[in-house]
Amino acid sequence: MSGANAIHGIILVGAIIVAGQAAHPWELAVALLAVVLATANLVGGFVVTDRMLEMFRGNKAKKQREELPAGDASGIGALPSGGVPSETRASETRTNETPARESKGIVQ
Amino acid sequence: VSPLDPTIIAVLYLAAAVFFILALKGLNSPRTARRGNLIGAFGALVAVVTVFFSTRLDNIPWILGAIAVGSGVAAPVARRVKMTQMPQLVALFNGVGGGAAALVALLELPHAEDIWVRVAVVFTLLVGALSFAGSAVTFAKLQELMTTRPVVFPGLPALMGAVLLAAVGAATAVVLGGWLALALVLLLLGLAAGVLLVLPVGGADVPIVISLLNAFTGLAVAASGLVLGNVLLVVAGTLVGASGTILTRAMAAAMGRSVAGILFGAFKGGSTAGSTAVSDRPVRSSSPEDVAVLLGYAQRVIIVPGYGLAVAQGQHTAAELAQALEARGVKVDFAIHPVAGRMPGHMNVLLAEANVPYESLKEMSEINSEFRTADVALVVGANDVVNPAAKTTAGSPIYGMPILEVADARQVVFLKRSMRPGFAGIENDLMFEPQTTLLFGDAKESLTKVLGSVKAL
Repeated sequence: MSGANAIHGIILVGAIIVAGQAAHPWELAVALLAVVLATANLVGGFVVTDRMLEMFRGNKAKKQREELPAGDASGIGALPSGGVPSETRASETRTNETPARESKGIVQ
Repeated sequence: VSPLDPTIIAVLYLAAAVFFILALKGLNSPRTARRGNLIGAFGALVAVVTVFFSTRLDNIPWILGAIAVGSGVAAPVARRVKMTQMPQLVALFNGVGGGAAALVALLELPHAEDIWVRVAVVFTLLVGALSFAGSAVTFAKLQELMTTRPVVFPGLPALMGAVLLAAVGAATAVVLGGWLALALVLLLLGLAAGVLLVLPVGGADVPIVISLLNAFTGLAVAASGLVLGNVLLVVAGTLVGASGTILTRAMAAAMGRSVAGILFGAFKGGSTAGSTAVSDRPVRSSSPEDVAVLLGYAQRVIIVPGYGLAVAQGQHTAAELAQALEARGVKVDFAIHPVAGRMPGHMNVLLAEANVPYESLKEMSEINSEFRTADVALVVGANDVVNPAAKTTAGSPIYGMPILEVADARQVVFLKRSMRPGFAGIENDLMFEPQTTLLFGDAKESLTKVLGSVKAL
């Protein structure tokens, strides 16, 4: 839906046409407002959709660790209950997990 | 800039339209979605570059400046928004698109000689303004700037009727006379209709309304294409209008509701208001420690995340709990109902953000047969989507709605805030079954406590 939402931002084409043909200052002002709104719809729509889809990609995990250190740290903390030292356990899980998810992304 | 040959322009617009169709097709499947989105963005780029060569345009520096402002505001916001807040941002972007369409139509009115073009103008004005105001209210509800409960007051249906009648009158007059002042009145009426349309919609139904308003904006853009004689706008707008309508109906069906029932249910004092009746039948409530024991010594656990999890923003904790259980050798999956979360696919996005592997997210059709083999079904902040009344009680408001078959699991654990029924306002018999345990509290807090106890096992 978010992708479809971006597509109707193509009203930007219409806004550019009316702005380019505006004869009076008030017409231009209204048309430019339409251009700003339409651009926000178009650009924002595609960017937010891309970000959502990015969440499903494996290499996001790395980026996310930088962005959300707190959440991830506690995630690692969840692992040591198996009795293995947490550092080893965490890095093992990461290295096993990341290539699997990345290769899936490539296949897709 | 000198205009290019009209044939070349037509071919370029056609190419952009084809890119949009490919984009929507790509977005249908998770495998191709990201590429589909990029194809759509490329189509938009082609179209926007083309328009500068399509006809003689003045004010080009102003236009480029306005594009820079629009991008400069929207892109960083879209980059930085939290994933839980994404539905309201989508609603906002949808609304400004509708607003832009309405303004375009307003400016074209003085040039519209043909009566059918004026019909397209008033349609764009009205629907674009409605979508703008409706999306603004949706944004306010999701951002919790206002109550998420349905807002109803006596006389609301009459007021809505009066606004719509006045809009039809004003629209007819604008079509016949082409008066600009009256077109402004029509714009205001469209805004009022948008506000009145969304006010009575309850929190859990808001996803469907976002989808509906998205379709409305698509239709407004298609009509603006008729106004401007621009085929690309007609094609793109119709695509969004059609796909949005289909999606809206599919979502409504997944919740066992009609679109009209969602929009006007609260008008009649109907089901969106929910019931606050609390049953006095006995239930088995439990402590976080007991739930942790159930989960920690299970072989297979299926987590059913619902609206309540999204509201409590407990997706990271849910993901941590799944990780902790998997570390103990428990097989954990997430069962996603088609309308879980606040937007279609929202729950998948939230869980993916919390680093739940994509393979653990199972769609309803995929997971339903597996509840039979599950030791524990952990229902977090969901109710109606697991209510067996949808299958067994013919008179129930949700009868016929597809549900997740959690009743097949050996044990069912509900994390709930209270015994208050879901928005459908009906009791869930599953909660009184002997296999069911309830843990009361905010979804995130409960999950945190259970997680702590699992780690201590």
